[in-house]
Amino acid sequence: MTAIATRHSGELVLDVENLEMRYRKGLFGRGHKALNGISLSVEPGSVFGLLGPNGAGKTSLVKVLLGLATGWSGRAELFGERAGRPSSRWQVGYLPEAHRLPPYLTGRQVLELFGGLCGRQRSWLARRVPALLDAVGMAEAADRKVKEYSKGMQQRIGLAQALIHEPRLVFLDEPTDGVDPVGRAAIRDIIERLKDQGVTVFINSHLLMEVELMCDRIVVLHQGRILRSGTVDELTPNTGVVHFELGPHQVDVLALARPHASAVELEGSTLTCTMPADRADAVIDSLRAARVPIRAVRPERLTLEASFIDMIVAKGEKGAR
Amino acid sequence: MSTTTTQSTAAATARSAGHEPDAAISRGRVYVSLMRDAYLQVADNLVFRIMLGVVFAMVASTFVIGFREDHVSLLFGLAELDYESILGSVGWFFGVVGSENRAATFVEQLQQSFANSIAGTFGALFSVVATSFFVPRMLEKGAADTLFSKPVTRGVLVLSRYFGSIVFVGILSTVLVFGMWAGFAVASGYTNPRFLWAAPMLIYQFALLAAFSTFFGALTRSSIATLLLTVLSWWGCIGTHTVWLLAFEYAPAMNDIGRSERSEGDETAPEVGTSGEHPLVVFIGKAVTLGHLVLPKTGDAAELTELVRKTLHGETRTLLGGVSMRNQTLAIYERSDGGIVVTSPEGNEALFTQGRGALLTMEARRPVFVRVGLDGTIEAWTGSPRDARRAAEESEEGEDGEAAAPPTEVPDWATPAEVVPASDVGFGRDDPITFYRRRFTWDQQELGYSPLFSLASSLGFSFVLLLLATWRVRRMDF
Repeated sequence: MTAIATRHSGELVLDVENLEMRYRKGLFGRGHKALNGISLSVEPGSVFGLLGPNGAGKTSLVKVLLGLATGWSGRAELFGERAGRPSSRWQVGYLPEAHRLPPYLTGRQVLELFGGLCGRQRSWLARRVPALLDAVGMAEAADRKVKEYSKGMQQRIGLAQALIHEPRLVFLDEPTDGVDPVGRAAIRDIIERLKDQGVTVFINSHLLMEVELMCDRIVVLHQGRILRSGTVDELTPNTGVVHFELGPHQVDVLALARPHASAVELEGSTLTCTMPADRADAVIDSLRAARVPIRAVRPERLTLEASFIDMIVAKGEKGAR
Repeated sequence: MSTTTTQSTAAATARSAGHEPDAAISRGRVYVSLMRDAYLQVADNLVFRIMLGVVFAMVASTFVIGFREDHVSLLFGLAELDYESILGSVGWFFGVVGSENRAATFVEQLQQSFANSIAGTFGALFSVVATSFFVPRMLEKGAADTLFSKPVTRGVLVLSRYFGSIVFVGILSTVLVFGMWAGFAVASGYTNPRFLWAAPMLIYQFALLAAFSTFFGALTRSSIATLLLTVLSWWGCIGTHTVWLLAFEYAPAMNDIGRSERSEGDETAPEVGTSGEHPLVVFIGKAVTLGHLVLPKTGDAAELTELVRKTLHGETRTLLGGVSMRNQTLAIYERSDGGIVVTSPEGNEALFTQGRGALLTMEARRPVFVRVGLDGTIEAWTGSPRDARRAAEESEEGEDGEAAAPPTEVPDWATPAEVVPASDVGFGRDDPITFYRRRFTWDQQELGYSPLFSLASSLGFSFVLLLLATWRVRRMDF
C-alpha cells in the first residue's frame, strides 16, 4: 500500500486497497482493465498531482471514487464511506476534463444548481456564490448564459461549481485547460488557498510544469498501477550538477574545484561542477579558504517532466525485457 | 512525509467528523434545485417557447371572440359575424345550424375539439418534442460527469427529469385550459366546468408518454431516437387498442347481432368483420388482446377523465339489468344520484327521477312498466298496444277529459316481461366509440374494458419503464 500521510489525525480522506476496475464491453461483456490493484491512503490537507501516460488509469481511478464508473472490486472509501454511494460525495468536488455545463443556465445559476444539488440552502448560497464568482474572476460575466462563454470562462465556472459546497476533497481534471495565463495564476492561487484551508486536492494534468508548481505530492500511474509516489522533491532527483554563483575573485576556481568534481566549467561568474550533491560542501570549503565570495549554490534537479518521462521510458524498457 | 497544513475554520473542523452533511445542508433543497433546473431547461427550449406562444394566443382569442346567441362578436363588439356566414355549409358539424342555443353549442363543440384533438393529440406531441431531450442531454458525456458526481442518486436524477417534464406540461395545460375557460366565461358567458377536466386528462396522457420518453432516453442517449421511438410507441399503443377493439371485440359483437337478427328472419343484416377460426387469427387475437391489457392506454385518458367527472358530479350509472322485448333489450341503469335511466338499443334514453320503488311507465312500440325494487331487483311488465289504447280511453272517459296520471300500480292487462341480468344485456348496434364507452364503467368486470384496470395497467407499465430507465442509468459508466 502506498500510504501518503500529510497529517496524523487518524482520519483518512481517501482509502483505496487493491482496487481493480474493468470497463464493460456491450451489455454483459468484459472490456479493458483500467485499474490493476491500486492501493492508496491519503490524509487531509495536501495537493496531489495524479500523473500518468494516456490510459494509465488516472481518470478511471477518479471516476471509481466518484461513483461514475462501475465494475470495480477491492476497497475504495471516501471519508470512511464506500465510494460510489451518494453519501460519500457530500464533501467531494469534481471538475471533469471536457466538462459540459448546462448551456441554458447563467454562470450564477450553474453555481446555484450545483450548490443546491449538494443540499446547500438558498441563503447560504446567496453569500457563497458571489464570493466564489469573484475568486474565479467571473463576477462580471456571472449573469451571461454558459453557451455564450469562452472555453476559459467555462473552465473557471467549472472550477467554481466543484468548490461551491466547500468540499474537503477536490478532484480537478486539467483545471487550467483553455485558461489564459492570468486565469492560470488565479487558479493556482485558489488551489494554494484550498491547501491552506486543509482541503485535499487531486490534480490530473498533462501540464507537468504546472503540476510541479501547484502540487507538493505526486502519484504516478502506469497501466493501472501506481508506479511511484512521493513529494515533488523525491520525484525530481539531482542531476549531479551543482551551479555556484561567485563574486569577484582573482584565483583559479577551476583548479580549486577540480579535485572534488568529475568535470568543471566556468562561464562568466557561474562555476558548474559535475559531482554528487553531497560533495558540494567540499567545493564550498575550498572556495571560502581561497576567499572567493559565493553568492548562491544551486544543485540542478531534473524537471518533473523529465523525471516523469524517464520513469515511463524505464518502465517501458523493463516491460519490454 | 508530513506537512503542517491545518483546517482553517471551526466549521470545517466540525464537518471533519465524518461524511454526514452539516446543518446547512438540506435534502429538500436537492429536489427544489432539480425542479428549478428542469424549469430553466424547458424555458430555454425553442419548441416550448413556441408552444407557450400558441397557448397564450389561444387563451387570448377566447377573450376577444364572444359567442352570442345569433352572432359572433369580435374585439368586444368592433365586428359582428353571424354563424352561417362564418361556417357556411360546415355549420352542421358544430351543431349550430338549426340548434336552439347556438353560442353554448358552438363553444362546447370548440372545447370538445380542443380537448380531444388540438391539445390531446398535437399538444401531447409537442410536449413530447419539447421534453424528449431531457434524459439524453443529462447523460451526455461531460454533463453527466459533473451532475452525477454530486451526492444525488442516479434514480433521483432520472425521476427528476420525468416529474420535471410532467410538472411543466401540467403548468402549460392548466394555464391553457383555465385560460380558455376564463376567456369563454368572460367573452361568451359560457361557464361549463366540464371543460376544466381537460387539464388532468392532458397531464395523465402526457405522464404515460413521458415514461416512454424517459425509458428511450436512458436506452439510446439520443434526443432524436428518443423522440421517434416515443411517438412510435404512442402510435403503437393506440394501434393495438384500436385493432383489439375493432377486430376482436366490436366486429364479433356486431356479427353476433347480425346472426341473431338473421335467425329472426332479417336476411338483410350485414356481416361486419369476422371472428376468425384460423389458428393464426386466434394467435394474433390473443397477442393483440395481451398487448391491449399490458400496454398503457393513452386513448383512455379522455374516457377516464369523463368517468371521474361524472362520478364526482353524481352522473355515473350502474347497469342493473335489462328487459327483453322480443327482438330488443331495454337497458336499465341507476344513476349515482338515484335516478333511473332506461335506454333503447337505438340509443334513446328516458330519465326517471323517482328512483327505486316507483313504477316507471314507458310508451315504446309496446307499453312497458318497470319497477326497480329497493334491493335493486328489476320487475317488468308489458302488454299489447291495443290493450294500452283501450285502457287510456277508459281512463279519459272516467276523468272527464283531464290528463291521465301515470299509473302507480301495474295494470291488470299487463303481463310479466323477461328480465335479463346485467351480465347478459346486449347493447345492439353501436358505433365503436359508443360500444366501448358503454362498457367502460367502474363496475366492469372484464379487464379489457375496466377503467380501474386501465388506470392500474397504464401506470404500472409506466412504472416499469421508469424502473428500467433507472436500472439502465445506474449501470452506465461515464
